[in-house]
Amino acid sequence: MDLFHELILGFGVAIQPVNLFYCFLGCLIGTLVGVLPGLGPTAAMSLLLPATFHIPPVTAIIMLAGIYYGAMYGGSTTSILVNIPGEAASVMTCLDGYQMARQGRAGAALGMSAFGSFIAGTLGIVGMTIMAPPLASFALKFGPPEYFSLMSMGMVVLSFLTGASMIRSLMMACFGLIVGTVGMDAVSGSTRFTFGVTDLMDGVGLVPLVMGLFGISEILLNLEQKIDRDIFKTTVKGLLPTVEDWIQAKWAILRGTVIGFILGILPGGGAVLASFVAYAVEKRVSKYPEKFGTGVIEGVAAPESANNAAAQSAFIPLLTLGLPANVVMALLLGALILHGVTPGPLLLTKHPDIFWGVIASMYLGNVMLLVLNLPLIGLWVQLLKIPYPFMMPAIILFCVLGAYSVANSITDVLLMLLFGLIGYLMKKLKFDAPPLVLAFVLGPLIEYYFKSSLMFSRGSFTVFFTRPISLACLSISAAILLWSIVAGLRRRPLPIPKEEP
Amino acid sequence: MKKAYILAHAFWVVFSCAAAAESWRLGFGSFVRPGPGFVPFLSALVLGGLAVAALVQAILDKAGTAAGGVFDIKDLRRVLLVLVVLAAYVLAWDFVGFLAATLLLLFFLFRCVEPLRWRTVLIAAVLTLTMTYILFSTLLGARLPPGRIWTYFMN
Repeated sequence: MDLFHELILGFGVAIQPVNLFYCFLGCLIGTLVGVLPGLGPTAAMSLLLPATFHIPPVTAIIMLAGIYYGAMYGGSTTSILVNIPGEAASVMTCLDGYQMARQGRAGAALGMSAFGSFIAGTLGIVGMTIMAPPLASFALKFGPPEYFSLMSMGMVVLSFLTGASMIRSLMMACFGLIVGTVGMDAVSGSTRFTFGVTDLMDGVGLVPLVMGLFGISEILLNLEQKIDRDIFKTTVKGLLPTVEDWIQAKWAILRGTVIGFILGILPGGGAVLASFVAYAVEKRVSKYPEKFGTGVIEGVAAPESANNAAAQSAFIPLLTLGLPANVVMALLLGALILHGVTPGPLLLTKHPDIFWGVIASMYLGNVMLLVLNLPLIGLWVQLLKIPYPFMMPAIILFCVLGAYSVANSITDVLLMLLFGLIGYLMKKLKFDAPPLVLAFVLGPLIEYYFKSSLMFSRGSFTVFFTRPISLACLSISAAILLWSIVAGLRRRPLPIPKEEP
Repeated sequence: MKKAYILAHAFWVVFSCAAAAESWRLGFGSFVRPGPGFVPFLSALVLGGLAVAALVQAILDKAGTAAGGVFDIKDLRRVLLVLVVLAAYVLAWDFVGFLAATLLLLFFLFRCVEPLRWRTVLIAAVLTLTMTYILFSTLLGARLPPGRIWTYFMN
């Protein structure tokens, strides 16, 4: 009954005209970002982060969340029609979606993708509504050692799952921690790594960092390659899947939803991994695995359902524990902190409007996305025809002005360009940016919890091993590190990643 | 390719040493009373250890020698040119102002980076400038620098 009342409160917040408008705007931008290759949800969210400073925190998070799950919907359009994933989570949709389009079934693929996304997204939110409150209550038992161990585990798991090389990912996490300490130390008041630059006293901003690492670096990479968008010439009709399609895809949708939901919660999981695993599982359980890749509808339904369910469930650790499961959630954590809201178990009691407002807005957002994706499919196809040379300068200007407008600081723009270069070099040399961003965002919290734990235990490290939750988190981290070392030794020397063709 | 990885990991070794030295200077403190350099020092130490391990791996790796280069000099030059132009563009704001500097930047991006016809360049540049100005200055209220040169002429 309490849950019902809380949801009513959430819907009361979500249906306020301003929140409805920003939810719609977020979904629209998310779909647009998903449709257009070359700009992912992370870059779009970091680009729009400064624009949210003028609106209340709940409205800002509703919009930014809409961009994230909206991109999951939009990404499939490009995968199916152009064979280029609009964003990373739609890579697997290309395999069968594009083949369906070539066979004249683009409408069915797009329709199943939208309906699958809607069903999985909605089920994901239901799961989140049920799971979040008890998890938040449980998290109230956490003290500084538990938080430190949990956050460390998050970074280790993310480094393990996202990177081509565990060592390089962990190196980036350490670099992120160092960058996070730039500026004035909250305890001693002394400045760290500012080298006399006054603008660095407040630290490196989240916006210049993520815009540089994801926005500018992407543009720099695109300068190297000519982007051709060969839209498959077919008429998009019959968006409503047939009864036969539904019969074939129903279990794929449900399996994709469960896989996506579980992997979305885990640190380092997220939509990309969920779509890959869901496709692999679907192929394995199928009666005709050899047909996968030739245009079977389960090959579209499973990854699309999984990435949407994961996009929703990733909010659970963020809202209940204050722990971002992936880089997009790290960005949302940064956005909440910038708005003066600290996510975690107390969010539910201190800011129920934000907690339940965001959850309720997701129900509405999913309906909006279904409306946006099916009838407006023609518009999205037209958008794909805009040549990249016209978009690139606009994206650069958006990045520059976005970084500048946060604090009207030219230093922030120069920092963004520096991180753009760093991001470009990192991508070329296969260093991963997500562990860097996660460590940067969590850095101040990790430092606080680490120092508090040590001061509390009078300098004894046993405090991390005598408390069960902390011990469990550290054991998992140690097991992952050990596994990586053993795996590395078995295939020594570790190969340098091959250049992508 | 192997050379690029060795250089990259060597850079991280040097970086971690510098970061550790600076953190130590800031004050490590003790385990009971950690100082401002405590966490950055430990982070730099771990980074350094990992970088050394990665460097050794890169040196021992035989497969990497046969692979092609990571960077194409022509591409790298193009990337650096765009970055330098962008930095110069931002630094020019104070003197020539946002509007004039942006128009010049857009001409450069549309014409030099992605060669388009002059008429298309002009239309695209003016449209992009108008759109971004309306969005950031009018709608979002960002204070874009007017430029000292124009203020001088106006007065």
